[in-house]
Amino acid sequence: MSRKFLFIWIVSLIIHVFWMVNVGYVLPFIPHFFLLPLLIYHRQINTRNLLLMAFATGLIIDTFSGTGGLYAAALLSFAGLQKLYDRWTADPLREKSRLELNAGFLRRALIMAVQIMVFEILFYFFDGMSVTYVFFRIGNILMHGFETWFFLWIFTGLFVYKPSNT
Amino acid sequence: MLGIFRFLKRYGDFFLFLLLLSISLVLLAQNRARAGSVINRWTFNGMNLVTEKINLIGNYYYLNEQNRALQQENKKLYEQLYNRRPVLGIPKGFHFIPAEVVNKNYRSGFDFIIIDKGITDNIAPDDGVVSSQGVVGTVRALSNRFAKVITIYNPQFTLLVGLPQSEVTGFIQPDYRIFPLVRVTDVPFEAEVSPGDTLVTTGNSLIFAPGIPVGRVDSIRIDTQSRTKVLLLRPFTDFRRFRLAYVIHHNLRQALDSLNNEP
Repeated sequence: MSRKFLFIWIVSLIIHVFWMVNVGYVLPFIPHFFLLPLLIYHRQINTRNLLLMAFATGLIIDTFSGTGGLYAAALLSFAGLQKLYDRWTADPLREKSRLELNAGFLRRALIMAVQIMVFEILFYFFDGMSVTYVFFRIGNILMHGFETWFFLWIFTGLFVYKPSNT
Repeated sequence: MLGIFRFLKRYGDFFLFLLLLSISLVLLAQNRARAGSVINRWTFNGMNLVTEKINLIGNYYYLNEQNRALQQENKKLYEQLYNRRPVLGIPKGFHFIPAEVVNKNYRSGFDFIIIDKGITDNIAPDDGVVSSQGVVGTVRALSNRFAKVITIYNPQFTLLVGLPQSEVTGFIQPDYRIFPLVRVTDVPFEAEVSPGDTLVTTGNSLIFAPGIPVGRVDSIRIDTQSRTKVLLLRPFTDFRRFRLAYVIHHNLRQALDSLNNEP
């Protein structure tokens, strides 16, 4: 794991926990900042480390929010899906997803939005442990997903992606 | 051992995922009532399914033992049944010896089968062999522990069969060309036989006990030269599937044979 990845991981965790504890009431939902390393570095980290990292992140958030293993289960499933997605879309020559090669600003935003929505669906699924519950909470999922996407996109645009990458 | 390591190395990530997910779900079930009730229900159903499958596997291994017990029980019942009927001129004393099929030789029909009973089990050449469905064949050769049985489809096999409660009889004469049927010849022209009738053993030569089902009449042809009927018989025994058999031995048969062979 690179130092940059560790730095992003810790920073995203701190931001999330800080937001949750101090300014959680500002918005209807707390944006899932901790998704950031999973969204950006999932290809650079091997499967085992990614799973362990996702599980650890989930447990830390669960400890602070008192949600049992909800975040751990959702993040772990999301990490597993990310790796499957990598396997299906990987370009072996450039070690990069075919979908994200030469992707512009809008395309990256769209891919990130889809990834975040997948996580939100998993999160609400584990919350109610039923698919019906997911449909019942579809409004919350969209709203929560949008908030997360909005903040993460600003964060990545400002600090993570270099202008040449976008 | 190396294979296990390779397997773990290959699917290690997947097992790690399952392990971590299980831990998460356990935590979730302990801390959240709604999720807990659903997970407990899944676990309950899953455990029941697994227990059911394990029991099925256990029962499968227990089947052999049960089969042997049932075979012994059948032996007693057969002996009671076939020695109870008073048939004129046929002395009582048929013994049913349970046996298991070791090998089957299949060409156009089953020429012969090998069973796991031999001289040490007190069986003799030309003893009859039956399954729970009907006649299988007769013992042709013996070793101490095994016996070769020619089946009802073997050209060397011959047997007097008849309609139950009737004087109508005929000889079984196997023919490869009409497999899986066998031919029954020398049936009197005036005999009242129709397709669907069941033919049974007569017990005259003490090879088989009287009344053991052999097969069902499939069709009837008339032999105009000899003025007899020829029946095409479909044997009851399913030779592809049967595995357990009974050898029929009668103590007086060899004495009867020696008399019959006297010039």
